[in-house]
Order: sequence, then C-alpha cells, then structure tokens
Amino acid sequence: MYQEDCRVTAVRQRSDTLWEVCLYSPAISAAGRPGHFVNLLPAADWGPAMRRPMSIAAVSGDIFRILFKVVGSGTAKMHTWEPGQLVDCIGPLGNTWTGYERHFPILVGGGVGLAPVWFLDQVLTTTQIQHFFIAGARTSGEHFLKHEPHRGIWLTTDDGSVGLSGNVLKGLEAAIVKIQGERRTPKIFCCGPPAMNRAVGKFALKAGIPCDISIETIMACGTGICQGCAIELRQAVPELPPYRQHYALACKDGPIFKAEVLF
Amino acid sequence: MRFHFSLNGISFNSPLLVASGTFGFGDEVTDLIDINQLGGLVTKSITLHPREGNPPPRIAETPAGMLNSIGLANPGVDSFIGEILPRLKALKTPVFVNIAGSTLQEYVEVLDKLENTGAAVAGYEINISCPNVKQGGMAFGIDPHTTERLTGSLRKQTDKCLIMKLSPNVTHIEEIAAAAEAGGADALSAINTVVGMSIDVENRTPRLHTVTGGLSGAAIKPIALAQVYKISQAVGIPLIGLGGISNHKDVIEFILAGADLVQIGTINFKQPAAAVRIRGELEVWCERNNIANLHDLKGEMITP
Repeated sequence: MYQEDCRVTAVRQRSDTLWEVCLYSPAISAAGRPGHFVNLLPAADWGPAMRRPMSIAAVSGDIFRILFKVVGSGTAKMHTWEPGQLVDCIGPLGNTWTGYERHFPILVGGGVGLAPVWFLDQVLTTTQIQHFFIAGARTSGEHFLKHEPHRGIWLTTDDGSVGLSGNVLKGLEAAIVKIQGERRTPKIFCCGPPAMNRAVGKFALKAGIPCDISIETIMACGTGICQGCAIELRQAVPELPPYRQHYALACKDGPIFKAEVLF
Repeated sequence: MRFHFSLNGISFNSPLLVASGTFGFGDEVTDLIDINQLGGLVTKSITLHPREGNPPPRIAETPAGMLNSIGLANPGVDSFIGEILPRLKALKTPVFVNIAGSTLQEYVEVLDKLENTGAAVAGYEINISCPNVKQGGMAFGIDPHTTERLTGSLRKQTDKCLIMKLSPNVTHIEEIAAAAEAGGADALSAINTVVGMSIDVENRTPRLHTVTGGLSGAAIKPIALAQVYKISQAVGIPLIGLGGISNHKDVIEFILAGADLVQIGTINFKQPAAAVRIRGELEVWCERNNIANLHDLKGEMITP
C-alpha cells in the first residue's frame, strides 16, 4: 500500500458519460493488479470527510488509469482535473481477480464498473489467455469499445443502438453458446451497477458457472479501519475472521466476492 | 516535539492520540505512517464476545463530517488477546484498549481478562457512550450514578490508566464527568459522536440502516470544545479532548479550552498520517510563538 501525490498526465473523454484519467505513480502502477482500487482525494483541500474509491482501469509503465462518470460532488471535482495537477492516491487496495488461468474467462462490465474488468481484459490479452468480454450500457454513446463478436467482444445496449439489444445477459448467452466444446470451463468476472451484478450473479448460479463479482459501495478509509463498507454475505467465507463472516468489508475482504456469497 | 505531559507514569511526547475506531488495531496502515510517532493509540472497542456489527449502510457523508453506525464490530476479547495484543505490545507508543459492554459485569470481565494477560498496555479507555447499539454502554454514560458505579468497579480491578470516554448526548456532561472522577477515573476523554441522521429524499430512506448514528468530523468541533471546556471547569483529573480535529490550530483550541491531550479521529480516514502532519505543524507553531511546552497552554484561554 502506498500513498503518493500522482501527477495527472492525461484526461480524456471516452464516451458520452465516461472520463479517463492517467496518473503517474511508479509505486501504485507496479503493484496494481486487475481488481485493485485506489482511494483518492478529489482535491488537495478536499473538505468532505471521505476519499473516493476508484478501480484501476489500466496500467502501462509508471502510469495507471481510472475511469469515472460524474455522479456526485467528488466526481464533479475530478471532472475539473487537468494535466499536471497532483492527486493524492492511496493504493493499490482490495483483493484481485483470480482463477482466470484455470478457466475460460468471460468478462462482464457495465457503466463505470467496466474499469476493473477492462484492466483484466488487457492483462489477459497481453498474456495471450483467450477470453470473452461483454460490456453493457444504456445506449451507444456510453460505449467506447467496439462490438467485435468475432474477437470475443460483445457490446449490449438497452435501446439496441449498438451491439446486441438488451442487457449484458444477452451477451453472456451468446458467449456461452460460443464456448461450447472449449476444454476450459467458463468463469465469469463481473462488475457493474447493483442490478446488473445481481442479474449476472443469479445467471451464473443457475448455470453452475463460477462467478466473481466486484461490488461498489460507500467507503471511507479503504483500508479496513472504519468498517463502514460492510456487505451482507449470504454464506460464510471461511477465510475471513469469524466476526466478519456475515458482514464483510468491501475494502479489505473485497471488493471481489463470489456470486454465491452475495446472492 | 515541544510537548511534555505525564499521566499515570506514562510520558507523552506528542499530544496527538488516535481515537478509538479510527485506527483499527494499528496494523492496517503501517505502510503509510510510523505508529511510534503517535502520542498514543486507542484501539477499536473490544467486547466480551465477538460482534458482527450493524447491517449496512453503516456510514454516510454529511456536510463537514460523517455519520457512522458500525455497531461495535470486533473480534471479541479472546481473539484480541490471542491474535492482536502480542503485536501491540511491540509498539513503543502507549496503547489504550477501548472496552465496551452492555452490562457492568461484561466491562469488568473484559478488563479482568486483559489484566490477567499481564498486558503491557498503557491503560484502558472505557466506552460508555456508543450511540449505535441498543446496549452499547450509552446507558452507563447518561446517568451519573451508573457512571460512578461502573468506574468504581473497574478501578478496583486495575492500577493501569483508566480513562472514561464521555457522550455529548446528555444534558449536563460535567455531572457525568464529576461522577467518573468520583469513581476513580484517572482521566476523561470527550466527546464521543453526536447523535445525528440523514435521509435520501429520492428514496425517502434513511442513509443509515439504524436510521440514526454518530456524527463526527469538523461539524462537531464547536460542540466538542464547549463540552471539554465545561468538563475542565468541573473536574481536576486530566482531560483528553476530541471531536473534529484536523489541524494544529484545532489541537491548540482544545488545549486552551482545558484539554491535556487530544485524539484525532475522522481525519485519519482521509489522511492516515494526519497525526504526524499535525505534530509537525504544532512544532513549527510552538517555535514561532516561543512555547517551550505546548501543555503549558492548558486552560489558558483568555476569557472576556
């Protein structure tokens, strides 16, 4: 875990709703793995009591990237960032995606939840692990990836303006059909809004496919101290301390949990 | 650091302790701060049995502060003794174990168990002011008689430093403070969080599962200062001030109001190394103002 003043090297609008920021941090970039997040201060003189947790969306060299959508005061402040400014980040935090080497990974991302699965997509591509990637949005303007089913990338939109019409389950169904006959059994890696996580989790449980879901919740410290980011678990996770087997901490025990303990 | 103060033979070279529940058990952020630079570490509340805490949501951001309703989630005293205490013993900084309970007997049992380990801790801070659990000790903190009785019972069990942590959610905090002093407390800490709530108007739902919770952060600093001032007028034992401290001027305010030491809490979530930063700021301020020992300013507010 590191705390660094990371210099903004680039700010880019990736879609109608998503912004990407590149941050220079040799330490966080070197230690960051898909699934990790950073907890950052939107401004050096940030008045509100909490930092803002943001998934790492990519790492290249000494630079890591985050994706955000303007939803509240923190992201509104982040929207004013310009190259050159320093951002106080603590990270990398949380657990990481695992088990992708043993399975055929099917990645599912929606909204800003795309960030941690997009990072995994890049690592799998670099390490030449064949996988499928499904990204969901409401409409075409919210996407920045291309719909390329021949390359294992499916986009879905609620209004049918690009890719498959419907939610990410449409893409999942297409991916499952395509995976028939694969030597490796599938595993789903999912991050999106709560309704999407629930739908994908339930789908996976019903289909008997292992599924890891990265959840987003209100968070203060990001390091396990405040115990504010509790998540109610349906099943005990034996690896966790006994007192956290019902209410686990998103920041330290997660943010990635198995679908069966969440739904 | 230009600060010297002793309490029960414990010498503090920084006035800044970290408050219970805002620094875990001291191992979460060791990558980011040298714990031994703290004036002291107060652990998360420990109870007789493990507690899973309250259902989410447990926190909410509010103007200049936050609400929490963690519900005393903790591994219980036995796990604490077995797994956490050995590590805390290795720290040079004074460690105070915060104890919570729902009956007098529970407080006494937890303290006894800790005493029986020969625990090399500096002392105990007794939470009689948690607003977030039905039986979280608040019953002890709102009545002078029960405060005195509980303090007296614990006093009999230990020679270590005994600090009673007071609630601001009372009509006359100075009466509770005087009761704790009469019961034999070595020091008092004030204030715990202030009962508050917040509602999501779109959903018409409370932002905390327990509806109300404890407000902390800069928003409560004026309340805390007034309470510390009132307590300092009513008792003779040392006083640890807390509530919304985020910089050196806040610390000096509390000392001028009558505090001997301070704790920092909510700021730790945003700035894990705040205690070290503020300590540095105090050093500069003391030098600039020719203050040899910051503690000399205790109660030195010039009243009109």
